[in-house]
Amino acid sequence: MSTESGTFLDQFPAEAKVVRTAFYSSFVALFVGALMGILQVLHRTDVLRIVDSADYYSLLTLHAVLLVLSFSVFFLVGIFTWAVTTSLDRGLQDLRYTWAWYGLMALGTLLAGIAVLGAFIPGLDMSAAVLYTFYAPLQAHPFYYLGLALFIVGTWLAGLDWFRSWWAWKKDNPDERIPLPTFMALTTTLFWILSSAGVAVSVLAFLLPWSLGIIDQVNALLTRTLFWYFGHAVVYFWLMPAYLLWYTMLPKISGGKLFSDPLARVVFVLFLILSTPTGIHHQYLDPGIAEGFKFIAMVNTMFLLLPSLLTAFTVVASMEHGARQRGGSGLFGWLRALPWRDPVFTGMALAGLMFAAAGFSGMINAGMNINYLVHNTWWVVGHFHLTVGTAVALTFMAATYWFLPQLTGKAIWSKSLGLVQVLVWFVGMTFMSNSMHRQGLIGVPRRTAEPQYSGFDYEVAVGSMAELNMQVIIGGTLLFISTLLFLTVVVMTVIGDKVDGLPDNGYADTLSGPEDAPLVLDNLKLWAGIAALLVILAYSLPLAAIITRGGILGPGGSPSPQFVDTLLFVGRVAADTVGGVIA
Amino acid sequence: MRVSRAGLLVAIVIMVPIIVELRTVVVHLGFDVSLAETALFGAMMIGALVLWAMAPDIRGREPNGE
Repeated sequence: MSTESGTFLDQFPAEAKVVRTAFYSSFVALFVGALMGILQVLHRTDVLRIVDSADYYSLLTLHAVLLVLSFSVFFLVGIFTWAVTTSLDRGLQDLRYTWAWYGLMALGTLLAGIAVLGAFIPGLDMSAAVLYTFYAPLQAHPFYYLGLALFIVGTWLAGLDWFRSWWAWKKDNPDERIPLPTFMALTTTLFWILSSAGVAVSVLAFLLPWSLGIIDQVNALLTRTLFWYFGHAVVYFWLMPAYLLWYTMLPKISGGKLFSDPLARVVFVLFLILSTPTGIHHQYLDPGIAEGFKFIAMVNTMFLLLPSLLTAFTVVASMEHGARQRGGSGLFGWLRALPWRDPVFTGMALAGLMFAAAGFSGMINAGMNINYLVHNTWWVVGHFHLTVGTAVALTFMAATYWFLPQLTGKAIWSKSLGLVQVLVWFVGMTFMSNSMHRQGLIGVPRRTAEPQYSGFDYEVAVGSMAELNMQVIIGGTLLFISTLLFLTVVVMTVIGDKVDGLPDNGYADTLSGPEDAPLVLDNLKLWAGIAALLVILAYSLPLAAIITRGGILGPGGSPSPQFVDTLLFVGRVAADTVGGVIA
Repeated sequence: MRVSRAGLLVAIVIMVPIIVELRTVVVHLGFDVSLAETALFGAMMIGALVLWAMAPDIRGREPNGE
């Protein structure tokens, strides 16, 4: 940690500008995305339909892409840049390079946004209503794919930026353990590069050439599988900065120390090796993938519960330590001593609480048999509004109340309003996600502009459809209000005057530090190698089967180009030879 | 007060999902509860929580979460 006291702005003014810009970009995305969200709520429930139902899917695409990619990832790169800079106590290697990756991400977002919004401009032959899950057969304007590709390349370069900082630091500190925040950023970067390679192949090799008319068709199942290869790991990409904040900020704000640095490292290593070979659990209902592969994906997914449970234990233990340092006592009485008045603490704590609920609904999604009950229903939407929509988004908003003074040198305009904002979000999400889960259980579909059908009534287990819809409307409205409150506090803070006496930059100390962690945990090459191996084991056979059956460019027939046939032939000959020798 | 005002506010907010889910649970146990009855029961639960929070701590402890 820096020996120089002061805010992050005092210590690293140039890096603070980068982080600030990334945060502001994410807040713009949050506003537009939230606006699309409330419009969808009102449209689906038939309260207000200001666009044609055919255009609903453009709103849905914009809502999803802006919130789960732009809002979350712009915030993420800001957090990780802060984490690496602060914990290594050194600036980034080359700020021109840093601004270049930020520029790529911004340009990518702009291109993808233009492609989606083009649908609303009469006479413009542009549309990208392909949703966030942008696999074939839905096709978008090339700008959409190009924008997403630039955005992802930008994040890779950002990851390389953090690695460059670490490599430079390592030269000066060859015998030091990797500081925990940097360790978290680096492990996350590794699995992000590994997992997003799948969607990069899908976009660059298939979807973009297809959209440009260079190739006539694609193998839809292949693009789906490559998307989900990335599509589940990206969930952990959003979640890891939230975990970083729970591990490194929440204990400090609670008044204590992180319970265990080694456990935190184990958690991030587990996410590195387990995040990617799980994506096929999104494809349980895809007929083109054998059940055995799906079963393997289910087992891998269930293993992912372990790092989340370790996190729940470590973070709650750290909070309890903090509360007891503040004078709390008793079996549960220590809870009263926590700083509930502070929106940073309360927002993160409530986000963690909702994440626990999300874990339960996630287990339903992950179970191969029970998933069939909720697949493609509104249940799934309710689930991910608890994960990315609360565990991640609420943590980010709460963290903003700590980061904004660090980045601007200005005090938060109203912490009381901040507290109200995080509480309103929690209540709004309770109403909305509860109703989404319950509607999903009775078969109400997701991705549907008008889920009302003539001559058919859903069999609601408790209450009525009208009540469930009212719950969604109340919840969605509260969430939109909460977003506006958040942005109001941000804007009023930013336009305020600089003040003295702000807290120093820093993060939580540890009760059990890195000296207690086995050295092997810092061996990033080893864990990256194991992660790659697990991916090969989980995906090589399903991908080979999909290509063999459907053709690399589909549909059907022999895989093409010819080298795939050749590779498969050579593989068979080799296997037969080895089999013969063994026999 | 047994808890700080902010702590009480957070406790009330945390009761919201409990009240919402409780209705589902009791209906599955065979008790048909209307929306109005749920709201009334929720108000009673929150009222009881507020009364508990406002009462002085019998061991004389002060909330220190502010």
